Amino acid sequence: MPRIPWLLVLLLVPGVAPALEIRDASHLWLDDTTLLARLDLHMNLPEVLVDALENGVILGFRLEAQAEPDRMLPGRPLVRAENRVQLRYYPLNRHYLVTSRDGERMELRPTLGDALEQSARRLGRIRLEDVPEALREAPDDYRLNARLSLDYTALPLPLQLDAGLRGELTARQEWYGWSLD
Amino acid sequence: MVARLKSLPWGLLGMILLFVLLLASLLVMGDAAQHQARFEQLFIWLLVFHAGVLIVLAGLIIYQVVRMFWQYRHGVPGSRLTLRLVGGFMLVAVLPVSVVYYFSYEFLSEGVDSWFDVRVDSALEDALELSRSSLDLRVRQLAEETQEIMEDLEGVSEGLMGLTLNDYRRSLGAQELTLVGANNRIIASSTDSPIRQLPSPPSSDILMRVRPGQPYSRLEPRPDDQLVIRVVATTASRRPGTDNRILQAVYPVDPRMSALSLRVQDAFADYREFAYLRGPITQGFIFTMSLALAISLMAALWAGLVVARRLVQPVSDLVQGTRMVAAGDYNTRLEVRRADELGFLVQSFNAMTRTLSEARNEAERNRRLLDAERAYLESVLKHLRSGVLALDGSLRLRTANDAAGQILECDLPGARTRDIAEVGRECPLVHQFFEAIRDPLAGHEAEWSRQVVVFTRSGRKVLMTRAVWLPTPGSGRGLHAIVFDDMTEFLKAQRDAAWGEVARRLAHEIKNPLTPIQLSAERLSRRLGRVLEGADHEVLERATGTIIQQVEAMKTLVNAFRDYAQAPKLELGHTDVNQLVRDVSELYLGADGSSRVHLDLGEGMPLIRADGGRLRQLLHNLVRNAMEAAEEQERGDDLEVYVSTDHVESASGNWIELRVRDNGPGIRPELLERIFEPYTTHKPRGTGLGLAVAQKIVEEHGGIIECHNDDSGAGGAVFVIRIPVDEGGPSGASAAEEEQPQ
Repeated sequence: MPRIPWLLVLLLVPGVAPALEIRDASHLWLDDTTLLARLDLHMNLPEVLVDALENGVILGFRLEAQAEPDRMLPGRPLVRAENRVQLRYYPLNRHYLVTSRDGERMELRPTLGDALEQSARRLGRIRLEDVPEALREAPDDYRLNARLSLDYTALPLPLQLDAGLRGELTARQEWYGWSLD
Repeated sequence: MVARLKSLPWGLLGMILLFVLLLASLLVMGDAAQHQARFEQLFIWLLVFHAGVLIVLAGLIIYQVVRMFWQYRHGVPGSRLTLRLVGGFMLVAVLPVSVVYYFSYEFLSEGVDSWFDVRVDSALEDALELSRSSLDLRVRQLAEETQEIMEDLEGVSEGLMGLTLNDYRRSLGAQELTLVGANNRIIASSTDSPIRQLPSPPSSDILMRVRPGQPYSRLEPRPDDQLVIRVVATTASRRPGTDNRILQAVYPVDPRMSALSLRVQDAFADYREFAYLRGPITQGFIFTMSLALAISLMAALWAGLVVARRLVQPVSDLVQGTRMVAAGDYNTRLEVRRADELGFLVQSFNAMTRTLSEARNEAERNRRLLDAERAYLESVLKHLRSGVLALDGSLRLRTANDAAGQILECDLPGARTRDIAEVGRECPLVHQFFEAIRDPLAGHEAEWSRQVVVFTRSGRKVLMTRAVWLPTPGSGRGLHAIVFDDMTEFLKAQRDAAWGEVARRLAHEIKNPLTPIQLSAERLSRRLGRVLEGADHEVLERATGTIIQQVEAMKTLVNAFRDYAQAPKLELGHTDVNQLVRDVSELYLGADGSSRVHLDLGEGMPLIRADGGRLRQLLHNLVRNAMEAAEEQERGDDLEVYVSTDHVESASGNWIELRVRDNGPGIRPELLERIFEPYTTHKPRGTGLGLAVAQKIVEEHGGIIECHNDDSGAGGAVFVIRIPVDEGGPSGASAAEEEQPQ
């Protein structure tokens, strides 16, 4: 699904975003080729999304992370990674099901709060592969930036239109950053 | 090539292209609505495209409408018709679209709700609840069985635990049994999978939950779309120092049961989601429909505007062309854009303007010919020395050449179309001239001629006038063509020549024999006077005396003729007329100092440019003429002559007026009209040349002389002489002081 047209549509009207925030990056590990980060995420949903979730709509969340130079240097981000989870209501036992991106890991939680907490745990563990030599030699010069967002493109189209046109949702999310020193 | 490209109807092509794109996009949208995946891929792009089209159309319509109203307010040709046509198009477009929109809106609002049936909702709820109850029952059974196994395992040693678990797993049909001791140490495990030998311990969440002794049992989905039941049982050890053990059992759900339950759950979820989204779906449909109708409506409006403009364009061109033709531009040609009746109308207009243009060019050629003829005529008239005037029936000046203005001393060429009487108030000569010809002008003679005498500043003018009346068809009085020549000089020269010839011959024929006659008479008197005596001598003396006296008279007459015939060249100078009058009057002083010439001289008299000697002769002639006339009447003793001078300034000129009046019997009326002609005299012994010479002297000075009898009661003749003042010369006493009178 192309993103740019939706951004054009959604930017036309002000809206409210899910309370998705990254509170801290408490644990960072850097080995030879991999940067591991555990981010402390907080997730809360507006009423329209809770209502949609309990009526069978599957919600998708995405965490994007990228390590880039800490100075105002030109150039593309050096390395990127992305985590995705899906959250849905499971009517057979009235639980909430958290599914990983590949669908291999499925976890049920009795309440929405537990499910969001589990989703945050899943999303918060991010792994950036193929870290370049420059970052390993001078990690002080780099920052880890991360952004947590609801995947609007995964919503059913009528909900996208309705929410977008009524301004109840917006795709705009903030980037959070930490130094890698 | 560029001209061909410019001639293409780009607006129409753009409109067709836009409609094709719209049609294609609507078809694509309709197709995409049938397929969810394609719909999600294309809908946003279509939405953006339609929004863009909508904005473009709105912009075009606003531009066209603003332009249309601007043209309407500024009275551009065809704008009213365009406005009416567009209004009609709008009405035709908006009404059906509004009706369609209303019913479509109602259908969508009510129709989508009708898709959802309460019974279907309840049936799905019941099916889900049935699946849920069935599975719950199974979960509870397995939880109890697992708890019993856990209790049975309390007495089994760890060495036999693996075999025991294997036996239980087979007997219960479990997928996996795992016994976990303290510190999450796996004591023993049994699994039905030959490839998965390592057990999967309970998750930390489950362990945290069951450690306090709370059992755990839950239905769980698996990635392979199967359901499993996970049961975790625990036995809190009653014996101090021993660890709590946890038994985790994973039971498969019957595949059919699992598939049915999942299918029911998916159907329920889909239905709930569909029901939940029916509002947005309806709104989406309405939005799409509104967008499509708005685009269709705007496209129709725009098309209406373009079509109306194209329809009205020939009419606008015709109106504009008509205005240009009305303003005199007959070269207007309109572009024939169409092949229909309007195109035929434009072609007819072009043919009409072409005909008008040719007629106008022909008229223009004729006008130029007329102008050339008129210019030629004016040139001829301009170079004519004769004055030419043309008056219409109401005596308004139509034509006058320069010579007419010069003769009548008036700007007649500039007075065209004016009433001649009105011109006469500004130009005295014109007034005199037309007063003199008023009667023949008013008469019915088609052709007449008159000799008209007018008086000017420089003297009188004799104008030989001929006129022709040109009757004009349809009007009472036509054009008067009047031609006149200034014959003054000609007549004067002719008269002078005639009288000069007469005088010369008289002098020649008469004067020559006079001297021998006189000498012979004297000789007779001398010789016979001595011989004859008495009465004979007396007769002789009287006879010879008479001969000598008459010869002298004849000489005087001949000398007078000579003087008249020989016009001496004037020796002009600034002359004080008053002084001249005083000089002449002194010659008539009596011995006692009395004088019969009484002077009444004006003050502040300007000098005139004149020959003083000739003026003295003039004054002598007049005074002597008066005295001789009185003597002839034997009233010489009581004769009185009055000489007065005056300076007259009037519209007709600036004159010195010399008036000589006597108290004699006056001039007989029959002589008055030709008193200045030679040989006209009322004196028995007059030569008849005195007054002719006087007139000649006056005319030599550019003046006029006239004579009439005094009708104030005193009687006598009055001679009035007017000599123009030299306006460029000195005036008054100062000039008199500078120059001696002559």
